[in-house]
Amino acid sequence: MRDESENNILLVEDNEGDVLLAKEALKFIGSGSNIIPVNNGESLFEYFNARKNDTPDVIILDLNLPGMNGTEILKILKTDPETENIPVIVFSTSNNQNDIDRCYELKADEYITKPIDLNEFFEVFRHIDKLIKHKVSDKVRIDNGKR
Amino acid sequence: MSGLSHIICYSVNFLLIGLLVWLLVRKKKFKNKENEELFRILLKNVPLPIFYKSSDGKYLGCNEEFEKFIGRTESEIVGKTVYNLSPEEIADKYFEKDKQLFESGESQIYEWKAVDKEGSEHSVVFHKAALKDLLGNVTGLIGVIVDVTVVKEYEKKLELKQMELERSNNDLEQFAHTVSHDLQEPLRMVSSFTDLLLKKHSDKLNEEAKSYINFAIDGAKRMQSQIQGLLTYSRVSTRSNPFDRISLNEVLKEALMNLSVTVKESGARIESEDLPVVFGDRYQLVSVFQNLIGNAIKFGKAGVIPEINIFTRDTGASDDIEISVSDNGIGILEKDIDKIFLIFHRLHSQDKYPGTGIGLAVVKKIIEKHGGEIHVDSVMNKGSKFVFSLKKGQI
Repeated sequence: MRDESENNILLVEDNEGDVLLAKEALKFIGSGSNIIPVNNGESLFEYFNARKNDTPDVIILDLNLPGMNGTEILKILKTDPETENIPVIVFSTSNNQNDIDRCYELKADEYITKPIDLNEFFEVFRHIDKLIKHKVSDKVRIDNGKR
Repeated sequence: MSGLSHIICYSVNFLLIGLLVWLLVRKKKFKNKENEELFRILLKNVPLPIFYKSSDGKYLGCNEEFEKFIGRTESEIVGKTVYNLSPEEIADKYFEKDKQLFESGESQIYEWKAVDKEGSEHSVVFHKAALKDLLGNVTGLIGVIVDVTVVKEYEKKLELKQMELERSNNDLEQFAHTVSHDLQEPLRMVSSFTDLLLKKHSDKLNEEAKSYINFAIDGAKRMQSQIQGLLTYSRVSTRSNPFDRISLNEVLKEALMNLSVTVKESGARIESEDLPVVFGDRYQLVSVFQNLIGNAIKFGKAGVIPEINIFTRDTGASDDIEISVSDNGIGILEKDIDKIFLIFHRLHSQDKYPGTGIGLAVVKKIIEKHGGEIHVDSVMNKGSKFVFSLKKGQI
């Protein structure tokens, strides 16, 4: 079984404050997962090109990004066979129903509005951490079954 | 043809037909000379250009209004055709239309252009009817011109205003979007990092420092609620759905479902008459009931179970219906009644009755957008009654 510290969360976020808060959140909830921050779409796809066989366990995606916006990135991620199975959680300030509907149309796995309350923010990462662990243990079970 | 010009055209059409029928009826009673005199007086006094032609398309005569419009005397036009009086591209259509009328032997209304004596082009509506002899053979036509240039200009101006309004609504929506994203983001940072400071370095902070941080967090959170409220308020205008027939019983049910926790916690008793069907936006009407009932519970008297009654009254006005939401709460001082519908206006301290002061402003805006009015009757320590009107949802 792979070590928990190998679990990678790819965070597409240009706000350094949010990156720091996400790292603090993982520390606070006692998760061993890593945060890999990229601050725009271009950096995200460069990351994928450089690490073909090392896919993250989850992608957390902000919508309001410089250059390519979040929905454009989501569309590419969910139509490319290489990345379509990576869970994408959209994490945005917007609670606009049009944004939410659009993201689900583009096959986002979840849409979470960034909470103003720090405890709620931490809870979001507890939820994401649980998702990753659940997914990883499923994956290990499947791999073991194959053997 | 658009709305207003349509109405004018049909009114004039009645006038023209009335004129002809009247002349025909009188024909039997009067001698030819009297008949002609009557026709002449009518032509002279009808304040619209009128002309008549023979079946070969040549003008037989016209009234003074036509002379004034075209800038030629009757004697100058008699025996002439449309090609002698108008530019070819305009005359072609007159010719074609006259031909159709001579063939059908009936009447026609159409909108086209006409050039006045100064050479200015006007938008006009023609009302023409075929003239027949006793055997029913078409002998010519009579036509009335209604100048709709001014109406058309107003319509164009109205259309421009409408476009401006839409553009300004879009700007407002864009502004609201900016407020939602760009202002909330830094606010979230202020609140989150002050909170993080408190969480991580609590042991290094004394009680005074902690209380300052709590004030900062509380302020940021309240500001966010106010931004959200402002957004809700602006969206009453920009984000409404097309109006439909809406059952207020269903609206009330949905509002109570949204308030279920508050209702349960307060033990409030809510009773309602059978409510009517109205014309409106379901989502916004739910918001009205939710705000009014939510307030009735929130501003209840300490130790007294809130009792809320919802009544409906037919005002006698053809399409209005009145709804009232009354409570047994703390009431409102008379001097404060005018202020309660103002945005961000709050009558009580934050710690006693927390809130943003947006709810009733939103309610008022929604009711007014639905063509209704709202007012409140209140007695201190007895309760308040909010009364509002809506348009009946007639089929």
